Amino acid sequence: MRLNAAQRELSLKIVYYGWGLSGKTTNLSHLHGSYPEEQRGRLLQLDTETERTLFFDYFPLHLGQIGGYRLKFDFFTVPGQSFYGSTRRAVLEGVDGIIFVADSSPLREEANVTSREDMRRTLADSGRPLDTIPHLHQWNKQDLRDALAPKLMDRYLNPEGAPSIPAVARNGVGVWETQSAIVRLVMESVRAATTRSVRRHA
Amino acid sequence: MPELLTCPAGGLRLSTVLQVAELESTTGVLALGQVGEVHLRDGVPTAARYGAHEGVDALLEFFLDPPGEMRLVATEVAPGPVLGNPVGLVMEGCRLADEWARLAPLVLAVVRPDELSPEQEPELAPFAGLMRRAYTPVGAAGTGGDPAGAAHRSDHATVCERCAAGGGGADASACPGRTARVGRAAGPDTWLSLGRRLARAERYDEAVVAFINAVRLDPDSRVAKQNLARASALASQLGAR
Repeated sequence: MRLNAAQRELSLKIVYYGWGLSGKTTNLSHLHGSYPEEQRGRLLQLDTETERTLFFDYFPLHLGQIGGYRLKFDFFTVPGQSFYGSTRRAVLEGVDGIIFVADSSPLREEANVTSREDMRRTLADSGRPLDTIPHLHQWNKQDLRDALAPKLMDRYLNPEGAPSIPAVARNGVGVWETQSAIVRLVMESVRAATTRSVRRHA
Repeated sequence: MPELLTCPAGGLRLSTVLQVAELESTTGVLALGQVGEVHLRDGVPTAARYGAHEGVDALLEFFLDPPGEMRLVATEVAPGPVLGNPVGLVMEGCRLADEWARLAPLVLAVVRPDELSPEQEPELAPFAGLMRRAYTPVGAAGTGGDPAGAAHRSDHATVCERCAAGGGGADASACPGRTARVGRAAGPDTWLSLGRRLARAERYDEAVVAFINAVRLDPDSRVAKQNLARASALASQLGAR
């Protein structure tokens, strides 16, 4: 969370995390296309000027005001492949909320577990364990014929019982619900932190 | 001039410093070791220098070759065009560093693919085949092994002068000049150029072979390393689908 007093802006960072091809970019693209242009920034996927292909997605979104401050959410995805460790670390720096996107195909069980473990380890190494950060899960690709049921996904990927949402991101199913839920969790966390701070100074 | 940050070698990462500078809308100069600096205006990079490199390439160089001490000093920075979106630049730098870290042991430290250690084998297995092709002596018999042949077949019409002139026909393997231009006479720039053409045609496996040869012939070429890293990542992405 970053409070910029000069610009009267509160910035919050949300990261979509998950194995490659789990649907992170699909989520973000769908969201980006749904907001009016004056509310959203550019979806950064391809830097055409330098012809360098970026391999992650990012876009800023203004979601109104709170206490006279403009509320800005920065949405990111991480590259899924295992060897992009330092990139994932950079994306997770200062994160305020995490959505773990898992592919519901039974063939992706191991990949999902590996990715989630990598996320937990990266956060723990940076001194911010997962349980201290607002987070939820999205069980994507529920339209697959052999998709694992949400209850089963919860059992093997969500032992702590964080909120989880079934989705078919390519059709937009569950995308809004996921975003709304993480924004709500992050804002609750911001309010709690603000209240603690006010009490300390009272 | 007020010093905003001093960070010893091995301390904060460059990505962290740049992200914090962006959040803080810092204006100043970030000195990176003894080799270069990045100018920031309101947290956005406006200029960078790394040895002879300038601009975006210079900034990305710092990620490939992390600097020693970093010092951020608040000072006036002349207005000017920005180098790019700071978030994008940081992520691009991290990506290059990750991709290069994966390939470097194979390309730079391993003399020959048969010298791969058992620890290196699993991680670098996707590239071992490509390396074997790249290390097969240029001009070796057969059509499946040598990079000159692979390169020649990949970009037959434009690479082979003889074929372009009609001497070799469309069948690259039958062309008598198949190693003449790309093989024995090829310098790093030729391999680099060929690799780029292959990458543009989304023939990443073959592009990797060309870039490996460019790096072998000019181990100091950062451009070749960057291209190799990028092409290998794209090759492995396609392979995973």
